[in-house]
Amino acid sequence: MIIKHTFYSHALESEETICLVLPDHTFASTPAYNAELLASHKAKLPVLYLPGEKGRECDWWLRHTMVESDINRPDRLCAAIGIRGHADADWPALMEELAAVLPALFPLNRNRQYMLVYGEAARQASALEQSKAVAVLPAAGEDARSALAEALRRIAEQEVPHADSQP
Amino acid sequence: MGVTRCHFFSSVLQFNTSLTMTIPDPQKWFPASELPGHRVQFPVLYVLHGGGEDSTTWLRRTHLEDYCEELGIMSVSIDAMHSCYADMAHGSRFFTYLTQELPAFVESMFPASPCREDRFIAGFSMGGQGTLKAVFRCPERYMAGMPLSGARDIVSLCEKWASMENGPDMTGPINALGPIDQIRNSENDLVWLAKRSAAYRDRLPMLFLACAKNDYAAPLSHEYHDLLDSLGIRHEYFQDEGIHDFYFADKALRKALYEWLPLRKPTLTKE
Repeated sequence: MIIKHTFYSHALESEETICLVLPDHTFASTPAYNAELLASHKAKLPVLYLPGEKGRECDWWLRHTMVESDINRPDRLCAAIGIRGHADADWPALMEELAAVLPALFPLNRNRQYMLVYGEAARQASALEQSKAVAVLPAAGEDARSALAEALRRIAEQEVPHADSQP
Repeated sequence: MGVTRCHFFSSVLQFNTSLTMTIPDPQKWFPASELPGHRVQFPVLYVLHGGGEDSTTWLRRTHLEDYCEELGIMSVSIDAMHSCYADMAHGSRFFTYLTQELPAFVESMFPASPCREDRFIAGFSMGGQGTLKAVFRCPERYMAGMPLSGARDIVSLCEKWASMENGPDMTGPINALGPIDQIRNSENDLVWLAKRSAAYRDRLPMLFLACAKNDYAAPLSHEYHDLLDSLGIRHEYFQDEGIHDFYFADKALRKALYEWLPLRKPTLTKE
């Protein structure tokens, strides 16, 4: 399912629209993600933030990759969150805000939040390396689609650190 | 301030459909530092559109977003086409979707309180029919219902329309409700539902009926108000200048939200 969420960002002091892509539990029901667990608020999806390059809208990843199909695979369940392109300096505060607020609103795991840095957005990695809320995943793969698929694989197979596993 | 559009598959409708929601700014109610490890839960107002409209209409044509932001409540609107919010005679099961699947979905995926005390429903015109149907048939689910504008005796209205030489196209109501002569005393007959509900009037949701003085259906609306009085069903009846439009619906909604509805504040629940 797709959720376009417009909200007021206190970090940016402006309205911001993000594009959340979540698995549909009707089709992608698993022991860890199903209607019963969602109803009791026990289902928490890992989160992959997909920042846009400069000039790109929040739904760029939705339109140019297979993200909705990818995250609906039972072995890749994840919430993917597209963000429009921003100036480099804006990213740290925005990501801290999203990482704090979104898991309080949607079924997201606040301890497993990642950000895929790809293409020009790779510059953002250095600014975010100190983030305790979001782990940076450098892109692996030749294009956006394969970079995304590899990131989802690493998250699903827990090849990436997450806050509740850190000392 | 937040506007949220959700596209998802409904198991009841058996197709992809849309929701238009407003979600208040959680940081207006709680410091960002308190949010990690908690879930925000807002009271929820389900807002139903009229015939021929869609889930975006209330947002586009009223101050719904401002009211909800100020009061700290979520609003949720669905796409219901010309369904009359019925399990259609020829079509999809919109009533079941509205009253069963939708609240469960919204309360699972969004920061919506699951308490009856925090669940409200309102509607304009055909949405008012849906509102009354929901509160009379599922009183245990809603704290209050607010049908705003339009007729409540749908049978009389359909009979009147059908008898008019150049009346409205009846395809929508007939697809939704079936032949007009079969609506009376059915689950889609709001007069019959009111009479049936009188038996448990003390357990009914609160009711706020509103109709503009120059609404085309003002006489039928007034008759319904009299019917509820005669049945001992407590309700607020709001009339003011205006016609069957969103200026009046907005005014009535504002009055209901600010002066009548028993609203609770958003809560923060530990994960």
